Amino acid sequence: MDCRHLDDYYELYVLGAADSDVAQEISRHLDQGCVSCTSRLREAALNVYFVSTLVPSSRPNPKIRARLLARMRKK
Amino acid sequence: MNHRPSPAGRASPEELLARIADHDLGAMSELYDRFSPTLFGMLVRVLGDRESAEEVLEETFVRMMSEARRVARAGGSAAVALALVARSRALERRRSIPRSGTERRSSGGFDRRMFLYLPKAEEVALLEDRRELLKKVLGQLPTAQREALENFVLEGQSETEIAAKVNEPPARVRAGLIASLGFLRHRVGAVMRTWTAAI
Repeated sequence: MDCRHLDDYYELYVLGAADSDVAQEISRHLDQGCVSCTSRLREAALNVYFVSTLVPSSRPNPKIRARLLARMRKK
Repeated sequence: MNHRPSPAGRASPEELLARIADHDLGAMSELYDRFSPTLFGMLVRVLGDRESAEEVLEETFVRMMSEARRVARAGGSAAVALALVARSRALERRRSIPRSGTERRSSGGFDRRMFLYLPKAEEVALLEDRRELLKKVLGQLPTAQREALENFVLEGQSETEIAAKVNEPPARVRAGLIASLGFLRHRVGAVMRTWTAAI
């Protein structure tokens, strides 16, 4: 599959910010098991992860943890 | 998120995820304790308030409960899966609030396809080892471009919103973001492929 025209758009796709037509094309490639697109998206996901986690950490309210575990117990 | 190779006796995030698929409460507690501070920091940045961020944080881990088996089978990084799910959920929430400006974004929600392209745990561990160097590299971008990129990625701002902030046409902002993402892609790739971290 020829994917070179998609080179600039993989991070945008991971970010949910690609134009609809580009996103649909990348999704189609992914669904069809395109090796090139999957590999490029893997790199893009790593890049997005890196920038997304540049923020300072912060402790949430402990009640969130308690609520989460209570929900898991119910399942 | 500082995911280092697991010291002896400490389960990896991927091992914890596999156990969460079997409803292991201890594994969920551990995964939550390890990743909630970074995820919460990220969510506060995207959503702008702690209460919304706490709700989305909980929703993220609830989602991961449901998807744990799928992610474990895909063999991808739990850290990246958590970050992508959290961000996706936060942006869904933000977009549910009516905003001005036209958007041409494609996705509005969680897409399981993200699990098809998760990087491997080893790749994330390598990135974490080189994180400080990568931060310096990102600092090489001109300030305005770096700030636009961070607003785009960290806050999920659209190019329209960024354009209004910097008083530039949206098309120019978009071209700048694509260029910055290209810079990031190239530099991260180069640093990751370098044979030693001592550079």
